[in-house]
This record gives sequence, structure tokens and C-alpha cells, in this order.
Amino acid sequence: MTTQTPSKPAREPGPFTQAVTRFGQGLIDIVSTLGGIITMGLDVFRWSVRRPFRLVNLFAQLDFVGVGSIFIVSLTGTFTGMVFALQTSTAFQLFDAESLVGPTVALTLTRELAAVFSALMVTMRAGSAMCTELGTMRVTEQVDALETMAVNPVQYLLVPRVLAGLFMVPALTMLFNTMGMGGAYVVAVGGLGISPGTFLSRTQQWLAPEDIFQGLLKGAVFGLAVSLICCFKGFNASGGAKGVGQATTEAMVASALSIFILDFILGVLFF
Amino acid sequence: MKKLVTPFRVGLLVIAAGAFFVTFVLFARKGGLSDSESTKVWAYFRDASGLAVRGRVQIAGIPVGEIDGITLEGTRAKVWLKIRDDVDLREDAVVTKRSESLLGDYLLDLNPGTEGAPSLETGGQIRRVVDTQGMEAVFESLSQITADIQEVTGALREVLGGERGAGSLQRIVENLVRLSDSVDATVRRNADRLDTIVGNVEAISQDVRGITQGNQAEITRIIDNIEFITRDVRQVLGSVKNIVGTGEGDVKESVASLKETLRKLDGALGNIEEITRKVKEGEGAAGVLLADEAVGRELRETVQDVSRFASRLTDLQAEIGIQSTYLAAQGNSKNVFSVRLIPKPDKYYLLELVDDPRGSVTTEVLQTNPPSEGDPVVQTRKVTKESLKVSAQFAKRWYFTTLRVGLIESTGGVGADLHFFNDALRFQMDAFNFADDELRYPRLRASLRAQPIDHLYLIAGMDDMLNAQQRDLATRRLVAGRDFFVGGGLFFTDDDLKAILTLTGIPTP
Repeated sequence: MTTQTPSKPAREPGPFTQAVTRFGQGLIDIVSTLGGIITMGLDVFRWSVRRPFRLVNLFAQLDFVGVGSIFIVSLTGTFTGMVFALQTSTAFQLFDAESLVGPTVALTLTRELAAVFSALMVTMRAGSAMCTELGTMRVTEQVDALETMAVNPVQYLLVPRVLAGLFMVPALTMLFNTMGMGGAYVVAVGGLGISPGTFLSRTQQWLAPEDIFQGLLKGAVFGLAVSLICCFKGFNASGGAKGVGQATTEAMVASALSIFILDFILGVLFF
Repeated sequence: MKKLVTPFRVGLLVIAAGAFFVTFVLFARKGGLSDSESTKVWAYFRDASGLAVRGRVQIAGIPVGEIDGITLEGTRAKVWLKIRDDVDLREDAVVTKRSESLLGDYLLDLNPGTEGAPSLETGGQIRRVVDTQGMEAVFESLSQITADIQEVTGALREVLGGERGAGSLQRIVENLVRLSDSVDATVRRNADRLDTIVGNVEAISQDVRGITQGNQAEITRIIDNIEFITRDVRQVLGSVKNIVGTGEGDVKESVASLKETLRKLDGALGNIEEITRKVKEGEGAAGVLLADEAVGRELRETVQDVSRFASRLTDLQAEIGIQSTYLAAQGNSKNVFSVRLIPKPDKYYLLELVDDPRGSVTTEVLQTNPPSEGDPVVQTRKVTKESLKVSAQFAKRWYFTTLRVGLIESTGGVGADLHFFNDALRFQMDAFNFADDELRYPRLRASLRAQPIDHLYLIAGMDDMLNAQQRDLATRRLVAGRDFFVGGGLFFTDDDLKAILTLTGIPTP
């Protein structure tokens, strides 16, 4: 007579194992996502130089990302410059150095804030829309339909969006710079009584063309990163409407984080 | 339409962003100095903290350059400066590091150097560097002061610290107590005497104050006199020493000469005294002149009158002119010689001698007595003669208008001139000969005078505008009525005449 011993039920992993597993899985997800974004970026580059050039799609995205963000970027830039001038002048007055308000605002805007804030505005306004639109197309199998019709979805859907992000964020950065300096001038000269000559001459003294180039380059990198992340998340969304919403949330978080991380890396490289 | 609108909007954004970019870059570029418009020099600093690339370099608060670079050489900072080309840098230039604010924002003050020193070329070194100014220097001074205070307190601690020091302090205090007791006792013993002394001193000071208060001016004068006297005495002694010399013979001769001189001087003084006495008593012409008050007053008034007259004469300007015009209807010329006396710029007297071909008409009344048959008893005869006419007018100018009144061509008349273009053009109106019975209207003359160059003018106009022409039956000479004329003239001022006479000389008989 043979007896069969019942198989032992699988043992529940301990909390430590679960933590390590989650950490590892998260790490794998991050690296996978990064790899997926880079792969998609290479695809986008490859398809962007191949015919047919879909200029109508491209201009539609340029319009949506760039022109559509003018108002919010102008408003943000103006108030950023104003509040920055106000706060720095309060601090500089303690040391009798109000003349440094102009250069401080100018350097901060051109090197850092303009690019970062412009990219954040584009992420919130256009990035989320890109992600949602692509995710909806994915879950409703419109992307598959495109493939069925022998239309490459990367070329048709992603290339215009990524190029729009790449080109429009630097343009919006320049707009942010201008509006921010205008706001700072109004507050410093009109409100705080700093002489216009001092404001302009000291700004001119300390501001270098390299600072502006640096800001624009940052804007381009941020625009590329944000559009790639949003497109990637939306393009690979799954799980119906809920999946689309989750993908959009992840895209926003990842985009914002990438902006700040890239800003630090570029800042170290430029400095 | 939709296809067009979208690219257009995108294009607008790109153009705006590009314009902002170019503006920003140009604005930022202007902040720096290019190599072509600057001189690049360098200086060593022991401490370059607070200095930054593109930091200001200024002279008298005016930016003239910027810091181009900072490098480390050994233990010193080599700071490169770009200075504007129009700054004349010399080898003895001085650069001073100075804090601009409490934040440690530093700038460089530049003294470009003296003119005598050689020029500092591109790549040259500014050797004189002051790099411990501003808050750094203040902190350094404070640090030194603190060290000094510490040194003093340390010395005090050494002197007064410990048992020995405490004993010394106690002895000093005991001595002070004894000394104060002794002073107190002395004062108590001699209190009356001290009161008396103080009272005396007070009385003396009151006397002195009374003297000085009432006679401050005298005292000041006395002191001044003493000062003058001592100075004079010093000069006299020096002069005596020079005159007398050092030898005994010289002294005798000098004394004899001095006596003789004094005697002559005494006589001269006697004469002067006699003269002054007579003058004082009003004797002689000089005495009357000086002593008589009425004569003096008259003399002063006379001198004032003479002075006023001389002033008028020196202010008076004269202008001499000649004018010749051709009279169209008359077929002859009219010549005028004029002298204009100008005591003030707005007033003048005009004297003219006029040679007028119309001549002067005189009416003679002939009475035949006894009357001959067939002839009237009284006959009237008009005689036209060629004679010079005289004008003498007084003129006064207000702004661009001059009014004249007086004798015009030997008859009473008035005139008015309007001046234009800084007196280069003159419109002239004369009205005269009001009393002539033969003329229906007074003689009215209008002319336009243009002066293209100095001293020369052209004139044209119409004479006797209101009356019809009348001619002498025998000679066909026009004796009345309108006539056009054209001509020119020359005039010279007295300054011109002086210059001409200086050059040509005055003819002597």
C-alpha cells in the first residue's frame, strides 16, 4: 500500500522577500521603461527622416504644443519674474545690494527656471493630452487599425508629437525668459524704485549669451524627454479606460521627475 | 483655410521666439568688451576672493573695463583685465580691490597712472595692487585692535594679578586715603587765608575786566601800535646799520651829512608850512580854490559838465554820405551830400545839402511906380534858380520805424522810415513843401533803399507823387509833379574815415 503525502502548499514569502521582490520588480520596470523609451526614441528618429513626411500632422502638433501653451507660459513667466524680483530685492536690501536684483533674476530665469517651468507647463497641458489620446487609441485598437492599413503608427502618431516637444519647448522657454524679465523689471523699477539704468546695466554686465544658449538647450532636452515619456506611456497603455488614466498619471510623474533629474545632470555638465 | 492657419500660428511663435533670442543675445553681448576695443593687462593679487569674471573695473565710479579671467600662479591669483582703449594706461597704474556691498561683491578701482610714465601696452602688468580694501580691511583692523586690547589686559593682569599685585593695589589705596586726609586737614587749617587769597584774586580779576571792557578798542590799538613800532624800529636799525657802516670815520661823515640834510629838510619844511598856512587861510589862487567852499562846488559842477560833454562827444558817431539819383522825367540827376550825427543808436541828426535840378522857385512882386501904361501896377514874377537846398532833420527810431521831422529841402517836412532785414532794406516816405501855393498837394516822396553790401546802397522811388507835372515854359524844366528816380549812394562812418585817413595820411598845405 502506498501512501501519498499531500503536497505542501506554497509558502508565503516573508516581508523581507516581498520588499526585495518589489524593489527588484520596480527596478526592472524602471530600466525596462527607460529602455523602452530609448528604443522608441530611436524608432522615432529613424521614422522622422523617412518618407512620407507628414507635415500636416507635424504642424498640428506644433500648434497644439507650442501655440496652445503661449498663454499659460506667458502668465507663468510674468508672475515668476515678478515674485522672484520681489523676494530677491527684499533679501538684497539687507545688504544694500539691490543693484543685483536684475542680474539674479536674469541668470536664474535663463539658466534654470524658464526651461524647467516651460517644460512643466507643456507636460501638464500637452503631455497629458498626448498620453491620453494615444492610450485611448491603443485600447480602442485604433493603433492596430493603422497597422492594418499599412500606416506605421510610430511615423503617423509619435514622430509629430516628439518633434513638436523638441522644437516648441525651447521657443516657449524664450517666451518665458522675455515675460519673466518684463515682470521683474516692472516690480523692481516700478514697484521697488530701483533705477532702470542700474537694473539694465547690471543685467547686461552679468548676463552672457552662454546663459541663454544653456537655457535653450535644456528646454530642447526637456521637451524631447517629456514628449517621449508621454508618448511611450500612452502608446503602451492597456486595461481599458482605467489603464489609460493610470498611464497618464505615470506619464505626468515620470515627466516631472525626468525634468528635475535632467536639469541637475545638465547643470552639473554645464557648470 | 485651416491648413494655412496652423502653420501661420506656429510660424508666428517661432519668429517671436527667434526675435526674443536674438535680442537677448545682443543685449548680453553688449555687456562685454571685445578684444579689438580693449587693452588686456594683468595684475597679481594675494587674495582674489570676491572677484569674478566680468566683474567691473572702474575709474571714479565709471565702468571702464571688466575682469577677463582669473588663474592661479603659484600662491598668487593672476587677474586679467580688459580695459577700454580710450583709457590711457601707464606703467604706474594702480588697481584697488574694493567691496561694493556687505555681500562680498567686489570690484576693481583703477588709477590709470601719471602722464609722465611710459604707456602700458596689451599684455602688460599692473604692478601696483591694493587688495585689502573694504570689509576685509575693516576686519583686519578690528583684529589688530583686539590683539592690542588683549596685550594691554595681559600686562595689567601681570602687574595687578596675584598676591603681590593685590598688595600693591592695597598700598596705593592706603596712600590715596592718607593723601586726601592730609589735604583736607590743610584746607581746614588755612580756610581763612584761602578765603582772603581767593577774594584778592577775584578783586584783581574784576579790575582787569573793568579796564579791558571799557577800553577794548584802545587796547587793541595799543597792541597794534606796539607791533608797528617794533617793526619800524627793526627797519630803522637795519637802515642805520647800512648807512652808518662799521668804521669810525664813516660814522663822522655820515653824521655830518645827516646834519646837513636835516638842515635842508628843515628849510623845506618851513616853506611847505608857509604855503599850507596861506592855503588854509584862503590866500592866493590855490588858497581860494581849496579853501572857498563855493568855488569848490562850482569847480566840481564844471568838471562834471565837462565830463558829460566829453562823454557825449566820445559817444557821438558821424556818418558821411553822398547820393546821386537820375530823375526820369527831368532827364537830369539829383545829388545829395549828407552828414548824419548819431549820439545814440536810436537817435540821429541828419544834415543834407541837396542839388536838385528842379531848383528853387521864388516869387517876386514888382510894383511900377509910377505905373506905366498898359502894365499892371503890381506884377508877380517867378524866378527859378539853381541853388543848393538844405535839409536838417531830427530822427528817432522805435524798433523798425524811424520818424523824422525838420527841414526837408529848405521847407518844413516830416518823414518816416521802415527798416527790414536787419536794415538792409528801407522804405522811406517824405512829406514836405506844405506851404507852396503853386502846388495843389504837398510834395510826397516814396523810395525803396536796398543795401546789398556795406557802405553802398541802391535807391529807387517816386517824387512828388500827388501833383501833376508842371514844366517851365522857357527851359522845359520840370518844376513840379511826379517823377520817377533811380540811383545809388555811398556812406562812411567816422571809424571808416579814421581808417582811411590813417592809411592815406592827411594832406598838409
